[in-house]
Amino acid sequence: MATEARMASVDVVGDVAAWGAHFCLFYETKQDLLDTLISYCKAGLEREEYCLWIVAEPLTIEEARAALKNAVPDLDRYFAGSRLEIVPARDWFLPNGVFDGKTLTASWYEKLASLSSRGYPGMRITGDTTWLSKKEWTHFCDYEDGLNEVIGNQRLAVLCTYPLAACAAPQILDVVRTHQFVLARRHGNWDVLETATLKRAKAELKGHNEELERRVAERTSELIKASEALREAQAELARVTRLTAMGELAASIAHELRQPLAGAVANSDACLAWLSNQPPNLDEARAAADRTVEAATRASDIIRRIQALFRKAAPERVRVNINELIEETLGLIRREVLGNNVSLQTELGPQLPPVLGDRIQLQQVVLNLVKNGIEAMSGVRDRALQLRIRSARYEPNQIVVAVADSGAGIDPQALGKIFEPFYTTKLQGTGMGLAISRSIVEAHGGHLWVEPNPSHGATFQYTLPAYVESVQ
Amino acid sequence: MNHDPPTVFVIDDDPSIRNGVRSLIGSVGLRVLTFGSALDFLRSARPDAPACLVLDVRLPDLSGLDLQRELRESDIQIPIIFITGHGDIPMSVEAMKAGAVEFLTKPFRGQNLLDAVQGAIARDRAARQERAEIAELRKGFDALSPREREVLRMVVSGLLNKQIAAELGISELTVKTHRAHLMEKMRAGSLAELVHITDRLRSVPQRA
Repeated sequence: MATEARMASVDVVGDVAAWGAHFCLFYETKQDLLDTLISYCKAGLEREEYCLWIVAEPLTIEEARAALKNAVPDLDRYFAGSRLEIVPARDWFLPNGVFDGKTLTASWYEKLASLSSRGYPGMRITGDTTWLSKKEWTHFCDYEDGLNEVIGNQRLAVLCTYPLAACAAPQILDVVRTHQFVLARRHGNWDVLETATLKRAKAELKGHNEELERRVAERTSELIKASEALREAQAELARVTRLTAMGELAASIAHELRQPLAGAVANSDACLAWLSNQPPNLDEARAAADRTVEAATRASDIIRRIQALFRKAAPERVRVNINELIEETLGLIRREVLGNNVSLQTELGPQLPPVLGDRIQLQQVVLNLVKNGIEAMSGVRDRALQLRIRSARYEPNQIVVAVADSGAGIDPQALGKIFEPFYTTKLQGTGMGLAISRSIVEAHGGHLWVEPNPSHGATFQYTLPAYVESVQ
Repeated sequence: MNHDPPTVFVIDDDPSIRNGVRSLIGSVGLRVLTFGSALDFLRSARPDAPACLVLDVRLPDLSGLDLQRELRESDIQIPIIFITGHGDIPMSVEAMKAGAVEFLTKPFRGQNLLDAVQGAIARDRAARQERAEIAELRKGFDALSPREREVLRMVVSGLLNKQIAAELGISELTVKTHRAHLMEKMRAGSLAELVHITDRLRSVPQRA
């Protein structure tokens, strides 16, 4: 801060006088006073400000004027333009021989208003106090204190000068108390001394700044925490949704297993019944036992398929025959499809190249799209419910899988949103199925998109890059 | 009354279960007819005999619950035993509310199914008996002349011949004649029996 720096020259006084400054000078000699005030007024005049110099003995108006003219050669121009006034202190402060702080304060407001209406950028004032006697001291101190209020945020700077010889310690303390800062000559140098009030104000400001910075830092860290929490929540939801999809798959699998088990139990009970008949009917018993074996074998086939499905839990990159994968997935949910009265057509392209990817994730995409298709048709009553799954070669090195339904189709306004997380049109949907499917497909280097069908429903399709083995 | 043997209809799209259930029920001497879908069942000619239906809930085309509704709407009364691989509670509640006699979750034990089948057939036999008797009574009622119906209504509401004669503006003798005829047509040996018969007829909803 400029006011904290030690000043080598009084010239700097001109720059110290920032708007709103109410400061004081203790001087020992007339020359000190002149040096300071000329620098102060010159800076103001150069900035086109209005300057008022209130002169008190022993300095005379003429001396002041002559000294200023030395520094500012075209001084007369400023007088002519009413931009500069040099007035005697007794006329100014003691108009009727008495000091009246209230009236004086009011006159400052008037002067400010009139100057600002005349277009001055601001007002620069200096006044000397050698006229001040003990009798007016307290009254004048109150006036000085009140001046801080007047100056406030005005375009006004006030420099009050006090002869050091006339001030004992109590007076110096009063002056320091009523001004923002103090100029003094010490050890041949001019010093700017901050007063306690300014220090306190600065400390407060610093404190406010620190508090503000602390709050900003706090808010920032809260925001970071919140966004981390959001990210975690999303990840958690994605995980739960994946588990839910697995749970649904598990329910389908359970149902798939109950069928052959029910067949095995019914047939073995029938076998026992035929054996316990009198006489035992061995032919029927044998036929029932054969069917039991058949059903049990079917159950173990399903278990083998499930084991293949869940063998590797971590994402993997293996060669996947997409047609086999589609067939396997459909095998697990075929009953669910049929249970919803949906007819399922598959058109799997011949001799498709393999893709490289995670079997379970790719299976989940098929599962999600098929379930999505079934749900899209749940409200349809006036036409056949058809789900068509197609795979084909797409461009030279891609394959495409398309799942077309004959459902309600997609509202054109929703087209852009359906792949967004949490977007759902279903009462019980999490809104994550399509979002997860898209992220899986994209993680495999493909694209997933949707197009409306010409007649009814929509077609979801995705591409996957074909895996081309490098020729050694 | 017919003398066709009791019949169990089995509808399940899984051949293993269908054949297992057919064999199981056949082992206790009941006649079994199996179908792979609900539509096949609806298209088939059903024998006129006490029967019950063993029905899978999930079926292609027409589900078990749909068939149950269809039968009710066509006024085909046959006890239904549901078998399901899912066994979820809302579905079983719906089925039971709609009049299913039993709901078995796959895999089920043979004896449980046989018990349910026997119970359902006994129930159907009684229901058929009841329906036949009502039909017979109904035949008698339908043979009544309009005037005889009027007299019947007054007799069972407790009016004396004299009161009926006054009400209808006919002679007491004529009332007696009508009364003798309607007792004969309704095959009632006493007034008490006549009241009982009309009560039974009233308890059955009239069909157009």
